[in-house]
Amino acid sequence: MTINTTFTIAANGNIRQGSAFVPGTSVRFTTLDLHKWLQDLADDPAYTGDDVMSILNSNPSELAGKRNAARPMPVTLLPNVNISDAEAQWFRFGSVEQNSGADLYTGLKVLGTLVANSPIYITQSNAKLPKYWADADVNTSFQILVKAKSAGALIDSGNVSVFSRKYGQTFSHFDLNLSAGGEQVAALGTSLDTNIILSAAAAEAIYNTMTVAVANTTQDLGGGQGSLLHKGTITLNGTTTLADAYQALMWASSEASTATIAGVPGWRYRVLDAAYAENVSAPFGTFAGGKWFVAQGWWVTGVMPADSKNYQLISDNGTIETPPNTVQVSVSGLVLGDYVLVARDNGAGSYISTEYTVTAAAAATSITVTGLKTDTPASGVIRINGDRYTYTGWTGTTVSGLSPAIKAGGYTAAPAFIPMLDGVSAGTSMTSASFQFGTPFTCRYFVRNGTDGSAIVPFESTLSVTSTGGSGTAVRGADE
Amino acid sequence: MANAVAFDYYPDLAGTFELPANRGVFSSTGLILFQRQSLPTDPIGIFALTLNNIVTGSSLQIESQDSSTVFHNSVVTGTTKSVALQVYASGSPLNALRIKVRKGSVEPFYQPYETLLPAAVGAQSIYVSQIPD
Repeated sequence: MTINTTFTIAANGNIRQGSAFVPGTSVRFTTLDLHKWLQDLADDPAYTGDDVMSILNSNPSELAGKRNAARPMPVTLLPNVNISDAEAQWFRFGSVEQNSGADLYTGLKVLGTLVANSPIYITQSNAKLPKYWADADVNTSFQILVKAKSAGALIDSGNVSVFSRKYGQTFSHFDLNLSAGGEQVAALGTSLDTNIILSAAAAEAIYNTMTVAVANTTQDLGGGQGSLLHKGTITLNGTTTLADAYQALMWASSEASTATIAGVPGWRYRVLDAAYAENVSAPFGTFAGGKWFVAQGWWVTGVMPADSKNYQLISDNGTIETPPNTVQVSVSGLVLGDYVLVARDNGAGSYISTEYTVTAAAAATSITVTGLKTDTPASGVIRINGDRYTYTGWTGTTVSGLSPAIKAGGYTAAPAFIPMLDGVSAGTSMTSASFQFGTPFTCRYFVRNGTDGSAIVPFESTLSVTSTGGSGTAVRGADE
Repeated sequence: MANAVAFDYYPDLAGTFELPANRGVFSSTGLILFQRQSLPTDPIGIFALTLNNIVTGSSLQIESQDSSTVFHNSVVTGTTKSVALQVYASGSPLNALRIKVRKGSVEPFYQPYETLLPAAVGAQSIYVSQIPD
């Protein structure tokens, strides 16, 4: 079909289509084609066929620059020559301005690496534009015209957003301003999302078991980052895995979604707070290596214990929050009655006995330990000036539940340390109370037993504490 | 008085009568004075217009500015085109000319060129500056 047979030109300048553009079937003309056709007619001595256009008419069109088929061509229709929105669907690769600049159709092109047939949708004034393009257009060249100005006023300031959000693929979107005319380019990229294994219906069903609510909440994930502000909460029902929750939220923010998120349709939900960086490929955060990197501002509750370490959050202020990683230190190869001491290695063949400096009043059962490490066992022993006290817990810099109570006279600026283990074995091994792993460190451990019948040569070695904890084995050399 | 005509009779002064085609202002030497009254559509002379630097193959149209009359339309075969146009009595809208030069059908293409010009008895040349499209 040629441009000449596709359109007619009426005496009033109306360029009108004979039949509507059919996406995927009809072939678009370039705006240069429109200009060339009009100029071809405009130098004819008289009207021909159904096109009222010849040298008798005023100049029907002009280009901004010379004809160049390799460049998008901005065409201005003069003075009353015009197309309607329906005809604009037939054109690409340039822009069409008409009605003395009151109307503008601007070219829009999608570039990037996309999965074949990635569906595109465009929002303008927060609404989806009716599709006059085919999904397959992205396989070759997605180039259309979008109305940017009408009756002298830019539509939504000329802004549009181009989305590709197909469930099963990573998402993409790009914001454009069409007010300048010509052809504006949206850079998109999609790929198959191997984390999506549920059907859309199954994902929707899971989403319907979840609650996604916007409200400020200050929470501490327990990973050492402290209590932090979050602006929304994703509540799981306690039986939903994080992998399934991710898929459900991808469905909820996909093109086909009917969900409302943070007050907007899911298909255009982008970010919880405009101040946050967008996560374009997955608005609720990406899922990789079995771990969900939740988008900024969301607090997640109802996480199954098996998933307790499979996610991380980002607070309102941008702090990355990790779930606590609790580990223990253990020593094996023991017998009943062995005395075991495990403390931080000083790197010089001994342990750190001056880890802290404390001041404590006599009879106190709790003390302040300035600089108390976050990887301190939840309970255990504190040595103050060599004196042994057990404790039952700690919070911040306060160690509490001391037993016995601080001795008469108390301490003033006394050296202190908190060993991982400090006690008599009741079996073949000893394990410390849990503590939150931060960074790796080395412990030096001592196993001694001077009791007749089980006496050993004092054993001393080091062990490494990593994200999985630390362990050592006593080598028993009989000392009898 | 170059077009004086001698009448061998005096027409009825109370009526109207047809003047010959070569009318002009004249008078008799008798008692009666005749004066020619031209219509606006009566040409009074020739305007010899020459268009220089025109692109061969361009379509040329010369029309009145009110688009009511086309005086000339052709496809120019050289770089110079001469057109003899009639000039009308002063004040006639037909003396206000619009000249259109277009070349949009065959490469090389040129942007439409258009200019306005008053017709006057005599000759005039204009330079056509067509811009490649």
